[in-house]
Amino acid sequence: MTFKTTCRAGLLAGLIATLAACGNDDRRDPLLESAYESLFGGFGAEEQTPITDQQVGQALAATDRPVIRFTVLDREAEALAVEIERNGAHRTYATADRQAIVLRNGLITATRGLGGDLMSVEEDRLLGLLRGRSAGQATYVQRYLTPEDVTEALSFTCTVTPGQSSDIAQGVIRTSVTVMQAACSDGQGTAFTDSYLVDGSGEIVTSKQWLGETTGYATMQQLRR
Amino acid sequence: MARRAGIAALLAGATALAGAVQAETVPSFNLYGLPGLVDMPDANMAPDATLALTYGRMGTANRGSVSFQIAPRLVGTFRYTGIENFDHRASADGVYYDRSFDLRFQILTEGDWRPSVVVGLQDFIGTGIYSGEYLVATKTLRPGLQVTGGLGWGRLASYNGFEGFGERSEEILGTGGQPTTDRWFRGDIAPFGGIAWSPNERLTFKVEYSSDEYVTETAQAGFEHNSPINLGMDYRFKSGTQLSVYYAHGSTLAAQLTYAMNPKTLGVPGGVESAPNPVSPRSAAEIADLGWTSDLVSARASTQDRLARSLEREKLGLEGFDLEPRRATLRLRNETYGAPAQAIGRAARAMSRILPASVEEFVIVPSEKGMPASAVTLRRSDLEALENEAADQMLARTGFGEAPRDTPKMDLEEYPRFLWSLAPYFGYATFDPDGPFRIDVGASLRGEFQFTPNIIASGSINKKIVGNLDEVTRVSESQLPRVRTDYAEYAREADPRIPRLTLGFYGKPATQLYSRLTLGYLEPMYAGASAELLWKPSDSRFALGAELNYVERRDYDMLFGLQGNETTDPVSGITRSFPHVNGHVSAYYDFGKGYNAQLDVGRYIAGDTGATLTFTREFVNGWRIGAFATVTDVSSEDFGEGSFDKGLMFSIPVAIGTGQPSRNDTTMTIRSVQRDGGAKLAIDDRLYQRIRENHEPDVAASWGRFWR
Repeated sequence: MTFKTTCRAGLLAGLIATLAACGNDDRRDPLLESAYESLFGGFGAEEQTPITDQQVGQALAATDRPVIRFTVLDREAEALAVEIERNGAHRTYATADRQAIVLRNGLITATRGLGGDLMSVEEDRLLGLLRGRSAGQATYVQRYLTPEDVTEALSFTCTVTPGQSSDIAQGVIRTSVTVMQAACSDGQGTAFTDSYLVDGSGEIVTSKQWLGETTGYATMQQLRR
Repeated sequence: MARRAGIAALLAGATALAGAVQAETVPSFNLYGLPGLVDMPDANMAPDATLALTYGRMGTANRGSVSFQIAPRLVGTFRYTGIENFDHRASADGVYYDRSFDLRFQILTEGDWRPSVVVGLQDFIGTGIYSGEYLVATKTLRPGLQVTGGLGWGRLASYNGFEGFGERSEEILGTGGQPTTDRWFRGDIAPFGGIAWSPNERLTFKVEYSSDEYVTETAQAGFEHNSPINLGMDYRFKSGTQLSVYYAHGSTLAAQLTYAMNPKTLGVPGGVESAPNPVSPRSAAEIADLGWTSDLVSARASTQDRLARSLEREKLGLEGFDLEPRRATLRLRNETYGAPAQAIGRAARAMSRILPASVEEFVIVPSEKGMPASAVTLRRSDLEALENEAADQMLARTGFGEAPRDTPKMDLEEYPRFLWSLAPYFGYATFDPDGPFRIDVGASLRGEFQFTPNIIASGSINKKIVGNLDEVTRVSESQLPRVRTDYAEYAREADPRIPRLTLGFYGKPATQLYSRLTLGYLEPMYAGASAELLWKPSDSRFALGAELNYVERRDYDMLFGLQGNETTDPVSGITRSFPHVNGHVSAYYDFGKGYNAQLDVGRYIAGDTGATLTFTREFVNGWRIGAFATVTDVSSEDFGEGSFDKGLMFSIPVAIGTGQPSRNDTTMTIRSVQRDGGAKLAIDDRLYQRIRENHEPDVAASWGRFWR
C-alpha cells in the first residue's frame, strides 16, 4: 500500500466513522452505523448488569402500576417493565427502552421489540390447565414472522404436570404457589419445557417460557400485580 | 436493554448474513456454479429462492457465477469466466472473458423409487464456448449417498460421444447473446455420471466420469486432458459456505468457494424496532358519549394536533385529517416502514388511543409523495377485539379500496421542509476486460426541499475518495449514437459530480390515475423533462403506464452543462445524432406469489424502437431479483457484443442489514455488456412500485406486520 492509498484509506475510515449518515433526513439509513454497532457493540454501549434489589425498590416506589422483571436468558439482558395498557384479559407491559411484553394471567402471549418477536398465541387450553393447576395435554400455537415477513404458526402439543407447592416473596408479592411444567413439542424437532409458578387465584406470578428461535427462553417475575 | 437486545438480534442477523443455517440443505455445487458433481451437473435442486454465489478456479480458468432458484423446479445461472493464455481474437492480454447463462428445469422430483430428473441448457444465449445441453437423473440411495447419470450434448458430448440427431456448429460466436436454438440437443450425445458420498454433514466426496474433453481449452489455452475421471471433496462450514477442491482430467487442480443465501431466511425475523403502542379499548359508556361533537371544529383541531405528535413518535407523518362523530380519515405519510401494513397498524393504534371514543370507523389513506394511493378501512372495535389474535383475523375484517374523492386536503403547516444528509456512496462497473470489477467509494451530500408533499426539489453531489472507475480506458466502436458507451468519459471527468438534480411534481388527476412530471438533471447522463402517467386500480394485479421524455446529453463533468444530442465515435470518427424525445408505454402484471412482469414498448434513447420484457421475483420483505431483455430495431451486428441489451437486477432492502424498518433498498443492475441499443433513462422516481405497495395484494402479503 503506497502512502497515498494509506492516506485515502485513513480518510475513508474517518469519513465512515464521523459521517455515517448525518443530517436531518431520517429516510437515509445509518447502514454503516448499524454495521459498526453489530460488530463492535455500538457507540458507547453500556455493560449489561442484573437489576439490583435497589432498582426494583426504586421502580416500585416510582409508580403504583403493576411491574414485572423480564429476562432474556441467552442474552443475559434484564429489564423492568411497567403495565401501560389493559385490553380484556391482556396486560401490556413496557420497558424504558420501548420493548413490550403482553401477559394474560401472567402467561406471556406476545412480545414486541426484542427481534424475532412472539406475535400471538392460541393459549386457551394450556392456560386452562395451568390456572387449574391440573395435569393434562393441551394444544398451544405460537405465531412468528419469518425474515420474509410471512406469518409462521408453530403448533405444539404440551404435557402439563403440577409439582410442589411453596411460599414465595418477590417485589411486593407474598403468596403460595404451585410449580407447573409444560413440556411442548411440535413433532418436527422443536421442543421446549416451560415452567410456571401459579398462585391460588390461578395467576402465573413467575414463569420461564420459550419465546422462539431468536429469543430462546425468557423469565418473567411479577413484582406487583 | 433495547440496545443490547437489538445488538444481539443484529448479530443474529449478521450471522444470518454470513449464510443462514437453512432448514432445507443447499446441495453441493459444481464448477459451473450449479448443483452438481465436479464439472458435471446432477439433478439436485437448491431450496426455493436460494441465491448462490460461486467463485472457482481450474487450471487457467477463473469462473464466477450467481445462481437463483427462480421457482422450486427452475434455476437460472449467470456465469463470468476468464480463461488465461487463451488464443482468440477477442482475448484481452491473453485472457478470454466470457459471460454465459444457464437454465435448468426439474422434470421429475425424486420419489421412493424414482430419481430426480433435470433438463438443462448451458450457455444457451452466449458466445457458445460452454454451450451444451443435458438430461440428468440423480437418486439418493440412502442418506448421504447419491448416484447420478446423464446424457450430454454439445460440449458435454465431446468425450466418447455417439452420433445423435443433426449437425452442430462448433464456432465460438463473435457477438454472442443470441439464443443458440439451432444447436440445442443437436450433434453427438455422450453419457456421464458419478457418485457423491457424504459421511457426515460437513464432508462430501465425489467421483465423476466426465463427458467433456475440454477441446477448446486444449486447442487454445494449452489444457491437458488425460482422463475422464474427476475427483472432488466439499467441506461445508457451519455457516453453510462450501469449500471444494477437485482434481480434474488427470492434470489439473481446482478449487471453489460457494456462498448460498436465501431472501426468505436472511435477516432478523420481524425486525428489532421498538414496540408499537397498544390499542386502547373503550367502555360502552364512552362509545355512546357524543358530547364532544358540539364543537366539532375545535375538537378536530386539537385531536389532529395530538394525533400528529403521536404519529411522529412512530416516525409517521400526518398529511391530512378529518374527524366526524363516528368516523375519522387519516391521510398518512409513511417514509419509515417497508411493509405498509405496519405503518397502517401503528397509525390505527395511535388513533385508538387519541380519537374520541364514539369514532368507530378509521379510514387510513396512505399517501405517496402527496398522492393518495388507496384507502384502508378498519373498525375500531375489531382493533380492540383482535389485538391478541392471529393477524389474518384482522385482515379478514379490513376493507381496501380507492382513496376517496373527499380525501382530507394536505395539511401544509410544516411546509416547506428542507431535508439533508451526508453519507457514503459507492459506484461500480463490471465486466471491463481490463478490470472486470471496478468500484468507487466516496461521500454523497443530498438535499431535498419539499414545497409541499407533492412538489419536491431534490439533488445530490458526490465526491469520490477512493476508487478506480476512472481507469476505464477501453473504447469500443459503436454503430449507434453513443448514448451510453461514453460512460468511461463520465467516469473520468466527473468528480465531484451531480448525479441528479430535479424538481418533481406528483399528482392524482383522477381516481386510479397517478402522474409525475420531473424536470432537471434526470440522471447521470441526461437532463430534460420526463412525464409519466400510471393507471393502477387498487384491487388489480394489472396496471398500465406511459412515459414521455425530452432529453439532452449532459457534459462529461456531470455538473450543469449540456452538450447536445450529437456524438462522435472515437474509433470510426463518425458523428451521429439522436432524437430529444423518447418514451414508453408500459404494462405491468402481478402474477401472485411474488412473480411480476413488465412490458415496455416505445422509443429508446438512441432513437431505436422496440420492447423490454422484465421478469421479477419479489419477496414480501422487499427483495427483488429479476432479469430483463430489450429487443429493438437495431440489428445484432449494429448493436455489437451481446447482440441485444439484457441483464439481471438485484434489489436488497436495507432493513435486512440493519434490522430497522426502512423503505430503502440497494439495487444492482448487472448487464453483460453496456451498449447503446435499447437504452432507457435511469429515472429514479417512477410511479408503479411505490403506488402498488399501497394496494391490496401487496398490503395483504405483509399483513403479519400489522401488529408489529
